[in-house]
Amino acid sequence: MCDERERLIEFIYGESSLADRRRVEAHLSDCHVCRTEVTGLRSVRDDVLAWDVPKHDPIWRPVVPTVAVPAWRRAPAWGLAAAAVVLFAAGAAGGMATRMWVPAPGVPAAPAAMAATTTARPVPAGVTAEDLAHLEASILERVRDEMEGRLQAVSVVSSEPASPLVPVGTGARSRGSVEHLEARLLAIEQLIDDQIALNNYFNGQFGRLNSTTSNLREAVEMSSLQRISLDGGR
Amino acid sequence: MTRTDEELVAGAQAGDLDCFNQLVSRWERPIYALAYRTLGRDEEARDVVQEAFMRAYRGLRAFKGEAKFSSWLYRITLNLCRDWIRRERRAPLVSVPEGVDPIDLADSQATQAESVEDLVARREMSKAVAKAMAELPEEQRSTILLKEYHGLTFQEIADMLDCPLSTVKTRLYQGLSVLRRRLERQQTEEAALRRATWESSS
Repeated sequence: MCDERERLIEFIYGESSLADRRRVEAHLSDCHVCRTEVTGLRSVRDDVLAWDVPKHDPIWRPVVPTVAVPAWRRAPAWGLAAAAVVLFAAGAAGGMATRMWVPAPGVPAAPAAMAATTTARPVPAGVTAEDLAHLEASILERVRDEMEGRLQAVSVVSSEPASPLVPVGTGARSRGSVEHLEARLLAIEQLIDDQIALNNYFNGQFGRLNSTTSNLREAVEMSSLQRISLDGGR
Repeated sequence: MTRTDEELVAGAQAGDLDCFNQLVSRWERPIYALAYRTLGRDEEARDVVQEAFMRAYRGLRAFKGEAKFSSWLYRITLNLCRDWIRRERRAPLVSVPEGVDPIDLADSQATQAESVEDLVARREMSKAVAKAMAELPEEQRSTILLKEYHGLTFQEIADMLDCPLSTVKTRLYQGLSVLRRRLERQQTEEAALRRATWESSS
């Protein structure tokens, strides 16, 4: 019996058969070694239960029905931006054409030459490639100004200096401009990725620092409690 | 009326998300406890819990109910913990979770009648057990965790860890014996240290 550890373990955890349990009990009444062993194992089982687990907020967020995402939402941001520029240009051009070609009832027809909102430059009736280029240049100019501001914020964390933003020439073809914009948006995405990586790095470092501080605080508090305990509350 | 795990699993398999959410709220705490005691790290344990439920959700349709849902979850969790330990090549440690004051933690777990001495003793024991457990071989640690804190039977543990029944008992016996020796040694050392501190201060 002294060599049958399995039977002792089954006995301690109450998983032995009735016959085995009686056999072990009979053995324990005669064997001091096994009795000590069983007492020791039961004691360590009590000690093990002292190991607490910290309380925590719920970790898992409840599952909610998945909403189908339209295909256009799955497109990359730069693609959406480029598509938005093209659509805006086309829409604006269509709007200008309508205003020029279809007079409103009771309103005299628009003059053949009217001022473009962006350049205040007279344009001939009808929309030419040049008009589109002007409109596009105006939009890109605004996008560029905004992006330049953002780039200055993130370029410091990039391993490479931010690529300078080249102004779009007023005579650039729309396709070339879109490609140029795509390239710039890709560069911006890269910079944002760098920023995220840096943030993660800082978060990790901060977490470690926080953990170390907590451990130190625990040690100090523990020491204080021990002192109180040793002094007997004096 | 409380629904059984089997009923909730059947509901979740039929597409009722509320059933799955109920299973999660029922098992999140034990799963976190298993991950935390296996890894000894709060943040990583939380990641494991997330991943374990994610895998359970994805694999729910394939779950045939041959084992208990909880056993299946425990197995997923232990596998994730094992992967993490191997990937990181790090031994389990015991840390206080970030943002949690250990004193508050101890206070929240203390009973009203617990004296300072009892609190100190319990916290020392908790730390000692955590330290001793972290030093055990992975198989022995997992076996003790599943038995002591989750109340699985020998047979359930054997099925979960894919090992013979006798191996489970041997691991348990050996693990508890090692723990016992280490805890006794630590208690002796701490008592000596306390005596020395008291003598030097008086």
